[in-house]
Amino acid sequence: MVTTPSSLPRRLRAERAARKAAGEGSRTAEPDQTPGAALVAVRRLFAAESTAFFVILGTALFLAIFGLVMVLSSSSVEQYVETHDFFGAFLRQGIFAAIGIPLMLVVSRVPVWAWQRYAWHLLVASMFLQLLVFTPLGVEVGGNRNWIRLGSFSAQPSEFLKLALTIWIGMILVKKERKLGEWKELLVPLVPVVGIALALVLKGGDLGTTLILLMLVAVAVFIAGVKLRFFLVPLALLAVAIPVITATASSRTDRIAAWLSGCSSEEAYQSTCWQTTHGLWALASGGVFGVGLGNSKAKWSWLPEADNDFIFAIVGEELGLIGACVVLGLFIVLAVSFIKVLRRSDDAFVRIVTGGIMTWIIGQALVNIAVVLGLLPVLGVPLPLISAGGSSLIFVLVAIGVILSFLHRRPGDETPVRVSAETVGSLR
Amino acid sequence: MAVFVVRLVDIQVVQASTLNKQSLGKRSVPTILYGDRGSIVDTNGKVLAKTVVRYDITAVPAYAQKGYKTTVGGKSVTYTLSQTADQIAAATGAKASDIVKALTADKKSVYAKLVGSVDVDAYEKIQKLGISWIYPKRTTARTYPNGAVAGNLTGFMGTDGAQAGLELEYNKCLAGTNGSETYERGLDNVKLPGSTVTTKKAVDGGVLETTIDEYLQYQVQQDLAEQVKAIGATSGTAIVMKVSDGSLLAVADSDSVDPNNVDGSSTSNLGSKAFTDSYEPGSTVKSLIAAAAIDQGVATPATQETVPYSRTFPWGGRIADAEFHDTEQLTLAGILANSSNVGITQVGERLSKQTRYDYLKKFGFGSKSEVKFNGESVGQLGTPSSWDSQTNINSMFGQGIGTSAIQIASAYQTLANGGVRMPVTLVKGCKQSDGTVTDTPSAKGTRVVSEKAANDVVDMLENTIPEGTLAGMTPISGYNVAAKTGTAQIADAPGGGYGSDYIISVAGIAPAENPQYVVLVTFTKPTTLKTSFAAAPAFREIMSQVLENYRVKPSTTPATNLPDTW
Repeated sequence: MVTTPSSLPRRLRAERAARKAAGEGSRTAEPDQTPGAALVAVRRLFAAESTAFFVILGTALFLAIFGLVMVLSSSSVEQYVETHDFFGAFLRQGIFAAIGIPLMLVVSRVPVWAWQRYAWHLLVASMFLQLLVFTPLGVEVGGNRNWIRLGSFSAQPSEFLKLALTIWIGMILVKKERKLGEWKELLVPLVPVVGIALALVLKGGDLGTTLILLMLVAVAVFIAGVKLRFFLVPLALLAVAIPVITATASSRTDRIAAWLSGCSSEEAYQSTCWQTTHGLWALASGGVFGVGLGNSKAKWSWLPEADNDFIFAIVGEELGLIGACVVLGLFIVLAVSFIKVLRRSDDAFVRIVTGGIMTWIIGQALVNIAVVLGLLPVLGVPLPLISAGGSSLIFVLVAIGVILSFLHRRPGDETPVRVSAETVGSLR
Repeated sequence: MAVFVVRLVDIQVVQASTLNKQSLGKRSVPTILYGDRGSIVDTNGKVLAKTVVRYDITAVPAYAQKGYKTTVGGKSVTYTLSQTADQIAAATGAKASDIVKALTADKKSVYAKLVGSVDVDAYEKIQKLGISWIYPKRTTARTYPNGAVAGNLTGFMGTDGAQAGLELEYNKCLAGTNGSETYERGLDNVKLPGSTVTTKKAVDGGVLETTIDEYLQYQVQQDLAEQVKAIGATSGTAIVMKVSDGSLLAVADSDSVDPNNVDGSSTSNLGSKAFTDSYEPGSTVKSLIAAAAIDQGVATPATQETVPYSRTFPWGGRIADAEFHDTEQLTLAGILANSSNVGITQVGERLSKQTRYDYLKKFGFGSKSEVKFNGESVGQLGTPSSWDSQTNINSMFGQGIGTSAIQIASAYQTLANGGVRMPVTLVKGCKQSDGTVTDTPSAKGTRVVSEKAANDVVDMLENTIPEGTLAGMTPISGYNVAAKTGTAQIADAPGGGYGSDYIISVAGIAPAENPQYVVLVTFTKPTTLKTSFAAAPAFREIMSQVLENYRVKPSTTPATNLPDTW
């Protein structure tokens, strides 16, 4: 059978509508019938989910909680120095996790069609928030004007933008399914929207997020089945743009120059190489088995952003090569699960969004770790789920919730995202 | 992913030791562990010399020019340079103007010493001020809590270390060894918990335990100073020695140095003359010749001698007794009690030159005592072959040979101890910080004369106070005291010409029937009274104090009182 992906959502939607009309009455009566009904309802919440659902959920929860522990360990000293409270950053991260995890579970119940329907709303809302960065509400942190602050609460709207843009791209590419071969169709509205989003983030000065966004868009567009030759022009543009953009901020050129030169001079050590060098030293002192949780020496004000961009160095120091590999492994588990979702789905939207989110989370993780390992210059991206930072944690959890929602088996859906193997090949 | 794992292995395993070395270089901070110099204590553990922690208050003038900021009662206050100087002055007792001068002499300097060697109280006051550009530096200082008491023995420390006395002699025992440790710091210089590694342990110096009794030493020094003044002597020494083990309980030198203020003493008083000065001992040697004669069996206390006032020898030499007298019939006891030069030569001549020399040598003359005090004199005993006929005669009454006061005290200890000479000891041992005791002296005595000979001499010397050269000295009631006086003419060099100045001395033993303590006092060049009797009050005072301090049981037997004449 030759099924086009675009037909699937529509079909599902139709089925859902029909089921809604038919099953509404009987479902509302259900819970009151027996004393065990509540238990049954709870069981039903999870019991029927697929393995991938639990693997992703479990890995995400483990990483988030592990992150919480590492944030406590890596931040306590500097928190105490600043505020005389060891637990400041830890409690904040705990609160974000307490918001993010339920939110992820709630989001995982959202029907797939809802994402498409509200994609534009989400995008507009996130763009609006990103614009707020340039109002007096915006705050510059370490050269990046990527934060908004309301009272004591601050957030990075770019995290929301990543999610919203992914969903929007999924929606728009599904809509343009049949016209993907025509570059004009592809150009509008994809290029303006993505362009604006990138411009907003770049204007704030956040090169790391920009790169992640670029990767995310590229992967999403690729998965949608856009012809490879369409990538040539943007690639050429990027090849020109990135050096220019990089060169505009001296802090960036310095960092990159230092990375290229290998951080050998004392002057470089004192300035641009400080963070990388201390990150490497932290990792080295960990050895195979680590110095033990809480025993990091780099966290004693040596390593800047020890609880954030460089938390992986602290993981490597305290838990050693083993701990670092476990973290790497867990991201691989996440990646493999995402790929499974991607490959098993016959819904183009699901595939595009999953691909985008995967690029975002896994890509960001890899970039972050590469930076810590000195394989990339310092880009300032946090390690998803582990680094301290509320916006990142919450929206990564929500993004995982979105993927979980694709996996969520609803009553009546026998095979929510399951499709025979041969269709995968035919999709492109 | 594989790249990451390879890179992780590269960093965490392959390059780890190199990287760790680099990071440790930045993090580790070496610190000194202080091993302080040990104390010198008296026989009861009372401190004679100790090391105290002091702080040099140093500053960085470059940062000091604007004063400093601090919070007082929650409010931020800024003090000017001169206000700060006032505060430092108030805390340390230094002059504010000096501090200002030190801080403003070179306004770009990074080092200035404001106040030297302040005590811990002042240091804490300074720390409380919280001045960011003040750096107190730990140092140590040596203090001698009793000042000049035993200063002649302890010696003192100079800027280059030990300079004299026990400080110098036992420097190896006393000196501490600084150790070192490293800790790792946070960027804000916080000491990382659990990061301290001791690379070298600090070892505190040992405690030098002396045999000196600080209380007695103080009394003896007082008595000595008083008597030196009373008889117009240029100097004096007093020694109290325990008979049973030859340990020195007090060694006093007049005008001895206060180690806390070395500059306040003349250089001749920086040591202990009791050890370092050699003098012609005079008549105190007669007891030793008598002991040798009895030991050799050529005399007894009752040996009868016909003693004229003077003797002339074939070679033209002549000796005479101190005061004119008609020819007397004296026993050996009488010869000693009256200190007859002629009498002792008549007895002594029964022994060969070599025999007498050997006895004197065995009594400790001609060699340093076991104390080996810094600069100790060996005396001038010479050799039998170097003694000419006159010196051979003179040596029997202590002229023509030289001894240190310690040698005389040791010789009398031998007599008092039944003829067994104990090594002279000033130091009981050095108690190292790990509890081991080193530098313990030998406790092995050597027999010089028979017990009988020694006891006979002590018995004979009991006559000195009631009817001999010390007749007229108020006896120490309750105790039988054996004593011998000495009045030696001072020669330019031993055996040379004599002038009109004397060194007078009294060596005594108490209680005579059960000797426990030896006291020797000497005075150089007394002016008011030039006979040995001038030394009697000091001897009496010191011996009384010794007997009282050590609660010596009064004598229960009457004095022996051997006949002086026949």
